[in-house]
Amino acid sequence: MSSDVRFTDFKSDKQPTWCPGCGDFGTMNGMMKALAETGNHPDETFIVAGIGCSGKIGTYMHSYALHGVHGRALPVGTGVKLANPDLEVMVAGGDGDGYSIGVGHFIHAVRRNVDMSYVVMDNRIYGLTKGQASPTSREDFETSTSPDGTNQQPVNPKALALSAGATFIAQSFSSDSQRHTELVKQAIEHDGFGFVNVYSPCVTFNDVDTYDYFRDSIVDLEDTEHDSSSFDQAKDRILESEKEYIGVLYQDDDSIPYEQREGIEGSMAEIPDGAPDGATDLVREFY
Amino acid sequence: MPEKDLIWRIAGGSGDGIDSTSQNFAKALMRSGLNVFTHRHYPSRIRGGHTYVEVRAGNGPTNSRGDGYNFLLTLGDSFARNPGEDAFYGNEETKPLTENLDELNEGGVLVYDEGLLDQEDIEEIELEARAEENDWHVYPVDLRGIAREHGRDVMRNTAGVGVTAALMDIDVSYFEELISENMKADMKEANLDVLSDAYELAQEEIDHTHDWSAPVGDGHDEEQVLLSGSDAISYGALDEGCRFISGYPMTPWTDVFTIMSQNLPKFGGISEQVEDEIAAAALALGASHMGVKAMSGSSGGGFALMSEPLGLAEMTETPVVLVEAMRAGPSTGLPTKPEQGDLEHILYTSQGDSARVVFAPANVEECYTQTRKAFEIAYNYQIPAIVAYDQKLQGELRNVPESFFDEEPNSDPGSVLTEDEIAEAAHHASGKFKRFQHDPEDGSNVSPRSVPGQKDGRFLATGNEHNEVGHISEDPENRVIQMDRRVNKLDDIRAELDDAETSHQTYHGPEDADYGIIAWGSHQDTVFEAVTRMNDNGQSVKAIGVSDLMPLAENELVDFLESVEEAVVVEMNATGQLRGLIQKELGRYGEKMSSLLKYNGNPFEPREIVEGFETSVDGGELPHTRMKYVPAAGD
Repeated sequence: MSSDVRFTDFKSDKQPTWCPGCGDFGTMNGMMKALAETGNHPDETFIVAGIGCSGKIGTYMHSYALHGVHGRALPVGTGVKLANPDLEVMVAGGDGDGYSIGVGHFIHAVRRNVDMSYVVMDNRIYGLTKGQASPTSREDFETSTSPDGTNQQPVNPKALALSAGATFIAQSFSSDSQRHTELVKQAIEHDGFGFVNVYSPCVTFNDVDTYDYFRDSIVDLEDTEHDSSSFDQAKDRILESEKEYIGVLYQDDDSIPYEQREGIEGSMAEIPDGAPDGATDLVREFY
Repeated sequence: MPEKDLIWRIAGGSGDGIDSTSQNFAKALMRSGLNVFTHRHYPSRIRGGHTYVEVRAGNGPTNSRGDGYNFLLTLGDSFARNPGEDAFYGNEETKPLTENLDELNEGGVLVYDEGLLDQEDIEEIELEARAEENDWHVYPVDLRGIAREHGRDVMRNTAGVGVTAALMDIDVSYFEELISENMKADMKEANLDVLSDAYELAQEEIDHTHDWSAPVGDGHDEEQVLLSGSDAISYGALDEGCRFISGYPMTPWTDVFTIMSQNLPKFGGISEQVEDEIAAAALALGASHMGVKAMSGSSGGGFALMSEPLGLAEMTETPVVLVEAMRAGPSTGLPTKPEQGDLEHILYTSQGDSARVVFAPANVEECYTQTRKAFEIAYNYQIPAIVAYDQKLQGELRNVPESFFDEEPNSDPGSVLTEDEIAEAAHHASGKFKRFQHDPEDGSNVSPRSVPGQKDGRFLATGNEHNEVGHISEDPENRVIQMDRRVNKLDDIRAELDDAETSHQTYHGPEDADYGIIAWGSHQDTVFEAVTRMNDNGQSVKAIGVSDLMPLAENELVDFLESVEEAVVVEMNATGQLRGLIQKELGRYGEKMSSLLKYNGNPFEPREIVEGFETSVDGGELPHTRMKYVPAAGD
């Protein structure tokens, strides 16, 4: 990997079509910086995204990228990483993509613990379809398709991740560029599935979870006594609904990525000793 | 009396060892020099329920189930006897006997387990009267008693094989050989003892009233192996360099998934069981995007979930091979029964116009060759390819010369450029590689392909319409160019298939026959057997077996349809989907084609094809309601 990569090398010639002020600008810049600062080259980086405002991120980044099916970015990324473990794989998505239509894949990607990072731009709203409730929208959030509020508890993605056996859970805020970049870097460097939920406000459709709201509510875990290696402390922080913590909530330092486990490691790279030539060596058992 | 094939049916409950016993039975007869074919029928439950396997063995071609069967070994349903489970199974112990009687041919032999079914049961079902009426030869044998003497009731199946060997004059040493090879030490001795006790008892103490026996094998020119369509699909994939599979269990697809999972590690490949079929197809797509030959698959309902990733593969021109193991639908349908009702689903599922390749192999050999071809075409043309087969071909075993598989493997990843070639290839001013180049060289519709990780090959793959470097584009001119390039590949593939030395379509019967039968997929060989028989009886008929469904084998179908007065399209579905496809693609022949349809969960017997054909020629009604006949347009 080349060491003289700058974060602008990850920028494509396409101007984002996100609304001015969208949190996704900051989220993406942090991702590009984190990739460059961890020594990744755009030729050896693969960005997978789903559908929605977040899904377009592959267009705006100048690496290899795939902009696929709504909610299915994680399984595509899993296939990519298993087939070529040398690539840096980063999956990006939104709260609808990852916690609604794709939530089944999220749980299984967490428990599979493939060494890739997953950055979710959580704006607590469906933006591209013009303002419907998302799974992280508040219970009393009124939208065109939920005129009396959602009347449902919002999903707590970090709690889902922790209960599914996550080995790295972080929360960042798109407008805190330095801290966000740092957290994405830690997710990249983590040996296993590095999950970062990013508060990435929608300035057009969400007038509740705004920049001001997050600025006023955020508590940086670095300013607390939080021990990110403690499962119990992570659980307590994650379940405290009144606080919006940013930082690394949980990291398992003993994490072994899925693709480094016995039977999987190196399997794509080399042909095992005594491998059969083909069917001709196998059909004998049918005599 | 001309030698007739032995068609041996072993019936019992699921869990009675019907599968393994029948497999060994077929293998023994294959080793004895006969051709063999098995037909499986089983319920969707783990224990109990009506299940049977037929083994057909003869010196001629045995490529299909026969007409009915002539030897019934019924074990009774031992699980229905479990008193603790009465609530679930009810009084079902005689079912493996009664439910099989309708198809037992005249003059047939019947062996039932006297140890399990007592005289009262037998009287209740009036077996004696029915036997007399049909000239059946009934031999009650205490199979359970023989097994029990050597320790375990479940060896009743081995006892049944021993009795069969004695009654049918089959050399018992082939069975001994297989028991010795396959069973662990403790079970081996016991089973060998059960086998010989049963054989001797049937030889010495049973008065043989029937006057026929199993054919004696003429021997094979070369060593044979006994395998299923699922085995052959898996070996075709492995030989064509497939090193990645992802899947989710579903009957009957699970077979290929299992065989691949057991074999891929030997080759350095990966098998992943994932959370659902959407993920299964998406993982395979991701792996293939990296240049690894990858596959996934499912059966009807699971395949429906793959629609979106399948469309993404079409749009991003990512090669991938999917297997669709059809079972009877709609919805959960008949989960363990075969049908060809998914044809339109396979051809058209996913939004937008289809650009995919669909092959439907007819038998074990074609499963191997057409799976290889599916990979080759998918990776050369950057297009998804689907191998469609069904629950029938999935489970039926037949003997194939071992040398059939003596083929060179191919690990060529298809149309992927080297880094040197990428450096020479067209790039956009931004530095992005023209992965979706409008006008690829040589007038081909296949654009140059890089694989992530390669230097300077960066591009975006997206499900949106996109320009040459993959960026989202709604430009009308670009849209038409890209859409045309994707769908026109099918014409190129058709041309390649038409030019190939051997066609995937197969033919049977005299070329100048007056009438035609069109079949596709797994019952093709049954149709061919019927065609032989009809020509022997002086009828003038020939058949085509169609495997290339997308792009459809249009030229061959036109030639065939032009050469006959009328044709019957034989399908295992209720609406004549292939007939519809032919009319749609050829734009004519609606007045020339009638349909013979069967969708009751059981595959065709050769005699049913004959009945259907006669109805089409002579008019009138089918003799029974197991099938449906739909006349040609205007008739």
